[in-house]
This record gives sequence, structure tokens and C-alpha cells, in this order.
Amino acid sequence: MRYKLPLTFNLYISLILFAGFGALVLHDVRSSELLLMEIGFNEADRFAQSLFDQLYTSMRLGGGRFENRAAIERFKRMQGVEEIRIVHGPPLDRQFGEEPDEKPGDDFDKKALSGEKVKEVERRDGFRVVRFVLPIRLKPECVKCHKAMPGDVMGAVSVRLSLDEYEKTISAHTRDFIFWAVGIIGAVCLAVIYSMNKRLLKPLSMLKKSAEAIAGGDLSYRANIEAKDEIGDVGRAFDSMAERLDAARSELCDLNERHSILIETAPDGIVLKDIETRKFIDANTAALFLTGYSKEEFVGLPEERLYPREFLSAYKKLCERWAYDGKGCLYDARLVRKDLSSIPIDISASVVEIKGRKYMQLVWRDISERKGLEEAVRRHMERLEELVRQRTSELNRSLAELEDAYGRLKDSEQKLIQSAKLKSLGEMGAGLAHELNSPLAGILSITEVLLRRKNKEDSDYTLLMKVKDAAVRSRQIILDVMSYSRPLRETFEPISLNSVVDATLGLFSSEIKSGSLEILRESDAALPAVSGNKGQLMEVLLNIIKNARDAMRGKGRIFIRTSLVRRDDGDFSAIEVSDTGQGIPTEAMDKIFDPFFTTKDKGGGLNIGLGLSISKGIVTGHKGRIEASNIAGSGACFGVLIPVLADARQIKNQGGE
Amino acid sequence: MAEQGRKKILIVDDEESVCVGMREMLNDAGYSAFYATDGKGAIKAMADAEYSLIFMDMIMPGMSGLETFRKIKEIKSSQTVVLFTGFFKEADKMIYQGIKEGMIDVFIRKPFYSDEIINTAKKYA
Repeated sequence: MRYKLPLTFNLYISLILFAGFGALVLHDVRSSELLLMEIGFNEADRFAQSLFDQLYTSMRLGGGRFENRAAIERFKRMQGVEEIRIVHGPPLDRQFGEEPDEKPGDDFDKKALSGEKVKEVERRDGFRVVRFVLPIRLKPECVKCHKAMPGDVMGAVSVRLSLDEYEKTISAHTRDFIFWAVGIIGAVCLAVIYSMNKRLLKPLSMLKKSAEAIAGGDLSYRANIEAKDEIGDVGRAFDSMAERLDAARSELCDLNERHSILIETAPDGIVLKDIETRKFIDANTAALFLTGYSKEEFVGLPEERLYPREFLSAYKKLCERWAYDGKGCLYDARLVRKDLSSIPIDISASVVEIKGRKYMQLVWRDISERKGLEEAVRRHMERLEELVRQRTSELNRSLAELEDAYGRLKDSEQKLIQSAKLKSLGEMGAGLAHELNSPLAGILSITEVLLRRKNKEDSDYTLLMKVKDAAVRSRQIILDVMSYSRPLRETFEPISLNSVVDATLGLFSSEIKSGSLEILRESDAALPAVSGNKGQLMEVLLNIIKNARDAMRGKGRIFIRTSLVRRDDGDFSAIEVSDTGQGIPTEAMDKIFDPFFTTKDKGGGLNIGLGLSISKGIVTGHKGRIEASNIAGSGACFGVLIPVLADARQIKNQGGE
Repeated sequence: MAEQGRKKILIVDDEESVCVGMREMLNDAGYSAFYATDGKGAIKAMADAEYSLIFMDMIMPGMSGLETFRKIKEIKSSQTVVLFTGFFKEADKMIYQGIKEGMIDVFIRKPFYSDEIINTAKKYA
């Protein structure tokens, strides 16, 4: 039987202490015995000597035997005296005759008569009794009465003394001793056991429990030993080991869990095959579902059972290649299920190494659904074709109705074509316009020269005038088309609208000014910057100014003012251009920004109606707005509002597009 | 043909019809105009005579208007040059650069009216 450590330990300590205690008691009993004997002998010796002295003294004083007997009777009455006997030796027998009660009784008496002190402890009725026989030698002064030589042994005194009293005292002491010793040793025992338990055994057993828990897999168990000694150190080291083990294990568990989720939830069958034995050793849920085997049946299954017979030899060769290449795949293979039905699969294989042994990981993708789908698609196609045939005839009937709707659509299509025209104009026209521009400039200038040279009455003058008009109209068309073809994305940068006004008036002064046109400016010097493209904004301003000029037929005033405008949706830097013309006709107000809309005389040929449309596009591209209104009693007013630049970074982003 | 005392004006444009038209326009207006159809011709013409004003197209094959402009300014820094172009879009950057460099005094968009040319000549020649 195996005892637990604490019990064994306590048992040992108790046994050792009590064995020591037993030895002590034994020793004590023995020494008490010796002590008792010593005391007994000494007491008997002294008692016998005293008796002898009394007898001697009484004989010296002339007391006869009667006196002697009286003395002996007195001594006999003393406490503890059991027996006093006088033994006569041969000289006394010779002198006084033999006395029956004083003959030597036993070997002790006889031994004493030979001159030797005899002593012995006997046991009687549970008590110790000491027997002492003292030989009595004849002294020289005794020869007066006794007929013998001095030194002869005359006889002996035999006494028996009870040791009852001493024995009682000693055994009382021994009991005391045992009582205290048991108490003290017991207490010591308890103290030792208690401290052992507390300081060593309990922590040890906690450590043991902890070790058992960890060995049993419970890594969250902690010994939690608080002692500040070596055991405590061991406990803490143990706990920290458990802590790290726990962390490592939970990490491992997580990883393992993730991996098994990865494998087990895969829709494809994933299996592991031992390359050497050609047997399967593991499979995921999908693979088991696919094959119809249970895991127990699957593990150890030879691959011959899972692939069709006719396909086996080819597959074996492939496997060898895959094992050599480390991976590979096979499409449109077949897999034999447990119920011997077969399903189409794609196989992809890769070689993995686990503990030095090579395995092949195979991924089986069930393509029966795909195959079935292909079949289903074919069937559906056929059905659809039939349906289409039916529907076509129905559709033919609805065609007439559609034609009506088509007619209605025409109008809106017209508009679409218009914008498509604009787009192609933009793309094609630009190149064309550039090429035409220079020769047109030549035609215009030469025609003008000739016109100057001719008299107005000249018959050619009218014809030349027609050439000039045509050239001028061409010029305007080219300018508009070129503006329209301007790409939308150009570099934006922080600029002030004041600089736009400056540049426009500076660069195009020759173009703008004609006759008695007066341009008045008012600039807000503190106008916040905007993010914009200077060229585009100049184009906008130029268009508006030219419209104003044309509206006033070259006579009047144009006011150009820049200012900060606050609206509900933010702050804007604005350019306002107002004129002293007739204003915009009310019926034209909501159309002026439409492409190809113009109030100017088309016959005059100066405008094709793109200017404001282009301008609006540009301003919208600047996230701004262009507004037109009439000033009561005066002309038209156009406002170009561009959002104030809040942050310098904003421009970069926009410019970088 | 040129009479004494008339101011000389040089026209530079790769389109000869423009050059001829402008020459006639300016001659009629009392100037003595000459033309060159490329930048090299313009530099060469400058070596032969002094011009009170030069009209020059910005976009020309070979040496561009701005290049020629720099050469002209190297030869004679006080020379006034009026630039014009039909390629306003592509010329945008060049114009701004020219303004930055302080090169462009006057800019005219092509095609132009004779008034624009003659007014400019009157102003700068």
C-alpha cells in the first residue's frame, strides 16, 4: 500500500520521536532498578552493621544472650524489617552447643559463614526485598569469653528488608517523567508536523495538484503558493511555466481551430494519402460526404477502392509524376463512392511532408453540379429557343404599337443627336478648325485689303464684301468650335479673379474694343483666391464681354466688378459684368445657356450660339455658377461665381486630377 | 517700291496668304511691310534691315514663334513684337509664359480684322 507523502512524513516524525522517547523510558526504568538495588544493599548493610554494633556493645557490657535477643526483637520492630536471624558458626556451636533456630538455613548463610558478605534482591508479593547476610568475625577483646581465635568467623547476621517505600517513590517519579515526556514529545511532534505541513507538505501537495492538473491538461490551474521561500519560488516558477504553457497552448488551439475550420468547412474534399502505402490516412468532412464513407472506414482505405478500375493505371502514373513534381492536377476524373456509384471530380494534388514522411494532399472538387449545369443549360437553351420562336410572333404583333412609341421617342432623340453632334464637333472640329484658321486669316486680310482699295461703287466691291462676310462667319465658327473642344480637365491652381479680368482685358483689348465702347472696372483688392484655370475663366469673361458689346452694337458702357459674395451655400468670388444695352428678352431668359441658342442675327453670321453654353460648362467645372439677370432701366447683368478656396491643399488635389 | 521715311514692318507667318494680305494692308496704311515665312527668314531679314515693328505667328513649323521671339530679342532687345495665333488653346501656356517673361507686348487672335492690325501698327510702330 502506498501512503501519501504528508502521512508518511508525519508517521516517520512521530515514530522517530516516540522511539527516542521509548528508549529514554527504558533507560529510566533500568536505572531506577539499579538505583533501587543500590539503595537496598546500602540500607541492608548499614542495618546489619548497626545490629551487630548493638549486639557487640551489649556483649561487651556483659549482657548475655537474653539481652541480645531483646535487642534483636527491638530491631525487628523497625519499619520495613522483614526478618532478622542470627546464624551460629561452628565455634559457637562448639562452645554453646547447637541451637536449632540458629543453624545456617541456606546457601547464603553458609557462604556468609565462610567470611563473605552476601546480598541479593528478591521479589515477594510484588515488592522487592533485599536479603543481606553479614559475617561476624571475632575481635581480639572477645576472646575473653569466646573460645576461638581473633578473626575467626563466629557466625552471621541475616536480614531481610522490604524496599516497598523506595519502590513506591521511584515509580511515582517514573510515572511523572513518562507523563511529562509524553506531553512534551507530543507537543513537539505536533509542532513539527504542523510547521512541516504548513511550510513544506501543503505547498508540495499544491504543487503536486498543479502538476497533476497540468499533466491532465488543465493549464488554467495555478498553484498560487504565497510563501517567500524556495518552495514559493518553485511554485511561482511553476505557475509562470503554466502561464506560458497555457498561452502557447491557447495560441496553438486557436491556430489548430482555424486550420481545422479551414479544412473542415472547405466545400472541396481534402484527403491525405500515404505515398508509400498508397492508403488514405485522413479526410475532411466534404471528402467523407463525397465518398459516402465514415471516417473510420475511410482511414486505411487503399486508393484502388476510390478510383475506377480503367482509370487506375493512368492515375498511378500521374501520381508518380505528382510525387516527383511536388504537385499537379487532373480534370474530369471520376471518384467511386461507397455505394459504387461514381461522380465526376477535378483533382489537384500537392506533396506534403509530415515528420519526415511524404504524403500526398489531394483536393477533390465535385464537378457533377457543373456537369449537370452544363446539361441543364443545354436543355434550357433548347426550351428558350422554342420560347423565342413563340415570342417573336407575338412581338411582331406588338411592333406596330412600338412604332408609335418610336415616333414619340424621335423628338427626344433629336436632342440627343444634337449633343452627340456637339461632341463630334468637339473631337473633329478642333483639328479642322486649327488647320483652317491660318488660310482663313489670309483670305480675310487679303479681302479686306482689296475692299479698301476698291471704290464702293465698284461692281466687285459687293462680291468682295460677300467673301469677307463669309470669312468673318467662318472665323466665329472656328473660334466657337475651338473653345468647345477645350478639354474639361485642365490644370487648376489658386488664382484671383482680378488677375483673370486683368489678363482678359489686356490680351483681348484689340478684339473687344470697337467704336465708342467704354469699359469701367471696379476691383476688390482683398478678393479671396479660387481654384481655377485662368485660360478657361478668361474665355468665360471674354464671351460675356463680347455678348455685352454685341448687345449694345459697339456703343455704350460695360461695368466689370469683382467682389466677395456670400450665399447660403458658401462664399464665392464673383465677377459681375453689366452693360447699358437692352437687356435679355424675357422669353429668352431660360434658354440663353442652351447650346445653339442665340438672339443675335444669324444672318449676320457672328454667332452660332455656343458662347454662353461653353461658359456655363466651364463655370460648372469650377463648381461655380453663372447667373444672368436684367437691371431695371438698364441692360443685362451676368455674374460668374466661383467658390472661395478654403484650403490650399484642396487646389492641389483638384489640380492633380 | 518702298518710299523713303516709311516705317518698316516685318511680318512672320508660315501661311503666305496671311503675309501677303497683311503686307498689302500695311503698305496701304502707309508702312513699308516685308514678310518671312519662317523663323530663319525672320532672323535673316533682321540682319538686313531695322524694323519698327514685327508681327509674328506663334505656331510655325521649324522654329516656333516664341523661339524666334527670343532670338530676335537677343539680337535687338528693344524690338517690339506683336504675336498672334489661331491656335489659342495650345498657345495658352506659351502666352502666359511669354507674359511672365515680359516678352509679349501685344497679342492678337487670328483670324483678325484689318482694323486690329492697323490700330496695333499705329500704336506700336
